[in-house]
Amino acid sequence: MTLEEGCILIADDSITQREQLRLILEKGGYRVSAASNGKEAIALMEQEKPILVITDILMPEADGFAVLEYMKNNTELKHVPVIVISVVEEMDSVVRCIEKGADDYLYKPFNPSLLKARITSCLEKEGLHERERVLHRNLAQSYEALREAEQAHDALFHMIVHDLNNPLSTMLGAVQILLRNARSGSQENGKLLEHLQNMHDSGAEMSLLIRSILDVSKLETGNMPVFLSPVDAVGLLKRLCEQFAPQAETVSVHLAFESGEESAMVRADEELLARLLRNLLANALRYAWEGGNVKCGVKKDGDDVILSIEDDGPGIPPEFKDKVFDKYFQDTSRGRKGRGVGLGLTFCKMAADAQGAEIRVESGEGKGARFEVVVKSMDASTLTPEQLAAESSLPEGQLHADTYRR
Amino acid sequence: MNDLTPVLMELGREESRDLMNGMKEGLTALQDNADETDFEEYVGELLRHAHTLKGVSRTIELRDVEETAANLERFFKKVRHSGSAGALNGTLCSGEVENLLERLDTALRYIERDQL
Repeated sequence: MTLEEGCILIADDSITQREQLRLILEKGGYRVSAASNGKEAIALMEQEKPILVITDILMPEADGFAVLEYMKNNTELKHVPVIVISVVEEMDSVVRCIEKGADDYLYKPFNPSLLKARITSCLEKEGLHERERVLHRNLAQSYEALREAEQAHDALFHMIVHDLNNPLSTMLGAVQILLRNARSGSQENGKLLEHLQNMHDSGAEMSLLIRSILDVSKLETGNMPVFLSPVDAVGLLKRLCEQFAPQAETVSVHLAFESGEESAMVRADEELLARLLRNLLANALRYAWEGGNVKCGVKKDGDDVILSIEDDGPGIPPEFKDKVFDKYFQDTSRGRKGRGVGLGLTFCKMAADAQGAEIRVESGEGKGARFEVVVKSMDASTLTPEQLAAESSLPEGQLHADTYRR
Repeated sequence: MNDLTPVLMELGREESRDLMNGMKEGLTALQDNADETDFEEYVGELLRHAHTLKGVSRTIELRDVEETAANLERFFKKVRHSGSAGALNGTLCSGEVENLLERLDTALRYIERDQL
């Protein structure tokens, strides 16, 4: 609000004094509101939200002290500067007003130039105080954010240590058995394969964990390159479902892909979109009930193409729905079959943002979860793949992740 | 001299005249009904009027009126301070009310002359 837009409220029981003040202030570009007593002034304050109040002390109904007391006890008005106007004989009253929070005073008859100077000074001081208050608020918010980040990092550290320790223990156990067998010469081919498989799976689990941490970090800092090109969303999701079929069978979940579209070209980074969908598929298989279903599909919706992955598991409680994409968030209420560090969906959100797509979730407790990735259709765009590449400021169509970050 | 507009000067004179007429009536009423229960509140109102008159007359530079207003303010303060309605007609204010009424008449005549 500029000073000119702000209103100065005058409270004085003398019409002559009020009109004199009004003339001076309006000449100075201020909007003026006037009250003939303290009670009226208090009522006007609620409507006008003045930037400054000039008040007489001795007034009917409510005096200058009552006005000051009301203002200082009101959250919205307590910082509004107050100038008291009095006669010189009222020094005791002026002192009392200053003690009650008045910012300045003037004696009647006042000098218009001095009045203007005092108003400017009061408003400037209040402007500085307001900036100070805003800075203080921002500082408190930053401190709180830093504290939360520190807590999140501590939690992450503990989770990483825990999550790396489990597969590492499995791996070391398998190596120990293999070593013992090798030393005793009692190697059995069947067991050897089983131990090697365990070592491989544990290594893969650790690798996935480390990769998701690195991916989120790269996307956060804008260091993950994004290559936009025409991608067939139907072909991509279908292929991924085929890849996940053995895993679905292992956990006894029926994985189905259905699409009314033969193909649906979207503009995306194929590798990044595939990794995003793999995360969603892995999540859906993790949460679907044993013997349950995971349904995947692709449909066109105007200029968009929607890729969906839906499980019939326990669903997401309403209080967690807005948090599932938050970094390090883990929904502990859903009886997870496997544990991650809470970065999978964060990665999905960042990967979607990075290529100008959108990710959303529909869920209810006990109603499963449906994740949708909304990507811009290539049919809606007249850009050729070459033009798409040229969109980038980087050579060969390379875009930084933050180019599309919302 | 303040750079007051003629309109503002006229407004100040009118307000001063209204306040003085009000105080004349008030003083007379006080003399006649000094035992009324709302005496303190009434004196408080007259004191406020005297105070306002002092400020207005100072602003429009009517020195005689300002002096009368200051006398009235002092008088009402003294009466209020005594805390007793009887003080108005007792020795504390002996002859003062008549004197003040006379001064108010003089001040009103002064304003009328000033307006001409």
